[in-house]
Amino acid sequence: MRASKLRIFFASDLHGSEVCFKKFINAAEFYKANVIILGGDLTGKFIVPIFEVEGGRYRAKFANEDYSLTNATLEKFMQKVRDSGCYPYLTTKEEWEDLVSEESKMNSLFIDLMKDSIKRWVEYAETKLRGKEIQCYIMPGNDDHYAIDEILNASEIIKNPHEKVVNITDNLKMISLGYSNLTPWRCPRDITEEELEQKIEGLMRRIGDVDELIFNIHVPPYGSGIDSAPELDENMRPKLGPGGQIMMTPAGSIAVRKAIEKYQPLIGLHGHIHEAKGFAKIGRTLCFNPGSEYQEGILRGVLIQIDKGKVRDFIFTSG
Amino acid sequence: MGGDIYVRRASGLVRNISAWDAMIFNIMVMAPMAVLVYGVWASIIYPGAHLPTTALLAIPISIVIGLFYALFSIAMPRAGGDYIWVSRILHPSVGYAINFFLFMVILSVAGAYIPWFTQYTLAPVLEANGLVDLAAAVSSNEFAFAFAVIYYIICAMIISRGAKATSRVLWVFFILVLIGLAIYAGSLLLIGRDTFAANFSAATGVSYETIIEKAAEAGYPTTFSLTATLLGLTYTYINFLGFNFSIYLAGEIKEVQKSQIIAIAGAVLLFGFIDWLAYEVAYVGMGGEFLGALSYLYAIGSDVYPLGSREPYFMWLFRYAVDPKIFTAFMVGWGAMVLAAILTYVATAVRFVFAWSFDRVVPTFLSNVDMRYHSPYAALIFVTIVAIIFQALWLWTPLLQYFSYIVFGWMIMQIITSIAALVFPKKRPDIWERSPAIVKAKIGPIPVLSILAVISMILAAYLGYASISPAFVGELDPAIMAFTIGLFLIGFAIYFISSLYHRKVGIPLELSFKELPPE
Repeated sequence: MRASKLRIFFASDLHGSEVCFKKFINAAEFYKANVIILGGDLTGKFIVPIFEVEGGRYRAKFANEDYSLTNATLEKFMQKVRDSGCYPYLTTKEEWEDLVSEESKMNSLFIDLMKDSIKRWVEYAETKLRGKEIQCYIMPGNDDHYAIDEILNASEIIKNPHEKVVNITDNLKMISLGYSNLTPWRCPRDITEEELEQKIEGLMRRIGDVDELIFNIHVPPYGSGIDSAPELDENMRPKLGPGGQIMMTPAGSIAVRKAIEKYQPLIGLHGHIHEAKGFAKIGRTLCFNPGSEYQEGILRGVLIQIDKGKVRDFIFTSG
Repeated sequence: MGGDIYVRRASGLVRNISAWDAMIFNIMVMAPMAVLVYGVWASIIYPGAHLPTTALLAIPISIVIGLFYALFSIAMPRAGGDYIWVSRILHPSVGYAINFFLFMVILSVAGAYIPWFTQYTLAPVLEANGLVDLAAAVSSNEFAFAFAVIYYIICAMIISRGAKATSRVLWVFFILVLIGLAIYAGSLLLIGRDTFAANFSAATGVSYETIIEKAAEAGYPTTFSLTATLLGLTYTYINFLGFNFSIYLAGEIKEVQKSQIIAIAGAVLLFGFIDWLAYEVAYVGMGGEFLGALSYLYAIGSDVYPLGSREPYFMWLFRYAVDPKIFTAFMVGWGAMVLAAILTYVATAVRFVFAWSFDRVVPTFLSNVDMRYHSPYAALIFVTIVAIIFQALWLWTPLLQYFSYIVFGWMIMQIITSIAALVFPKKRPDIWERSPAIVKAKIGPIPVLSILAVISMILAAYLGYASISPAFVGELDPAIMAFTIGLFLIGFAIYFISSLYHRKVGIPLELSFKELPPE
């Protein structure tokens, strides 16, 4: 049986945005997609401290605005923070100063907050998708700490496809890797090109001959245009060209590119570089990067219609 | 770190256009000092209008409408501006239709502006410096076309280097414009009206006083009137169109919330000041009564009119005030303004095509992007070719005269965008609720955005009506009106054909714009 009239919705790089995650889950019914895939970088990058100043009153600074909160407005504010991809944290001045001064304590707090958030997301997904014929794949990306894997793996409804081969249909298989080649930030799942190549080859060995294949690999292929990122100087600031323009440089993976050229999957699903929304054709393979605008609460994605083993249509969505 | 957020090491989005870059972009779209041409037509259509006052009155009107667009842009800070807003709030076909109209308009205006450089700038400068034969040569359509091809290619090269590089070039043009303006204003204030009058009389053989007398005899009102000034305001406001073009760059602007207000309000204020100064010093140095009278004599085809077939554009009259070198220096600024305006039109049109392609309304190859500079080269090549075709049409066919009612069409666009803003809180509560506080500000129970939308709609309705009134365009030509409306209909047709195609092969286009439910 071939992959007949299959509609896939793919999004990536939510970075903690709760509203984007909810939209992702709801995308299945809304877009009439049979398969929804989240391609990594699930966790947030920021903690927003909320200080209790006196009984029932709080203050916080968020998005360059100062907030004075009460018990009545606290939860709404915290949800706003979560929706933008940040983690709200109720604390005291003393505790916060202690956390800031000791990196290990802050890292530990980050991990706890990430786990809490992913637990809440998984519960939401299970409630929404239970009993429905929708395949939901959620994978960690290079930014994501390994601590979240056990939560994703424990779910009965969503599947974590990271480092696995999964059968989407009888004929359509998908290999998935949340890793990236090395980035300037040395994220938890940054690995070398050689390691990436080995991982891909390892998964391909488990597949054997297959006509219809999806590469769900967080990092896009090198030099494909969907991997263009600002070139950074030694201070991690974008390099400017002679006209003052930001110099762009390919930041994708050579190993991923080589594998796509070698195996020619039907489609490549990628994320990682938020500003490089687009698609690229490498041989017969259509590679997509829907980009990310999670901070605005906007879920960027791509809908792909597959019929009789071919990509019939696709559109980028911004919902 | 204190009470601020704690950030772990990770990458993020890059926006590289500053508020000031965006402001200069808006100013150059409007073409500062173009009033030295438009003022003549305003004087002809509304005899007795006090032009400097019209510039001052246009500022608050533009600020109100500008604030409306700025707030909308802050609510939905995407490249594409009203195309995105209207698509998301009303329907994608409506958004595409208004954007297609604007695309056609800006490329037609670019076509009209090329002769402003070759015939209005180069030729008089060469003539003033004694190069009469060369001036005649550069006035030809063939030269204008050759220049257009070269300049559009230069524009493409600049734009291909990215938004920041384009901004840098616009800044250079802007400085040249300011230098030109300073020369023009300083010279006219220094030499005084008597010297200008004497020079004009000596050069043309018709005395300064005779011009005023003969115009008065022919029916020209020699005093300024409030009614004419208020009507003339329509004309001056039209010069301000484009003050909000930074909405089309919103996805590339840093700190868009603050920047759009600075870019739009700043552009209106600075452009308004330039307009006012250009008019005011012309009135002081050359005489408002004289300028109106000369324009009137030209319009009625009087035998006394001393400049032959040449229009009495204020920048050309400046030639009688100063020697050729100073005139040449001023015209460098004037020419820079023309070239800058064309660059902004091409840059905007490229963004439109790129956005349509990304939304799959037009073929996907048009969204191909250069990897090094991240520039949309396919859209750039397409727009350059279309602009060159438009240029040929402008020079050798009467087709682009069909764009005479563009202001009417532009006001239709503004009305549609205003309607979208009015229904925004009801139709898209999800986006409305997430908008920054400044967007959701209310006066009593009514959102400020809704109030501004109503004002914008009323002004657009009035200006749209005025722009097709007999006083403005003479007898209304049904064919041109049909063409104007037809441009919107072509936009709708393109959208629906594309939509039908995608529905047949796979995924409805409309899904691209639909907001996902968060619950």
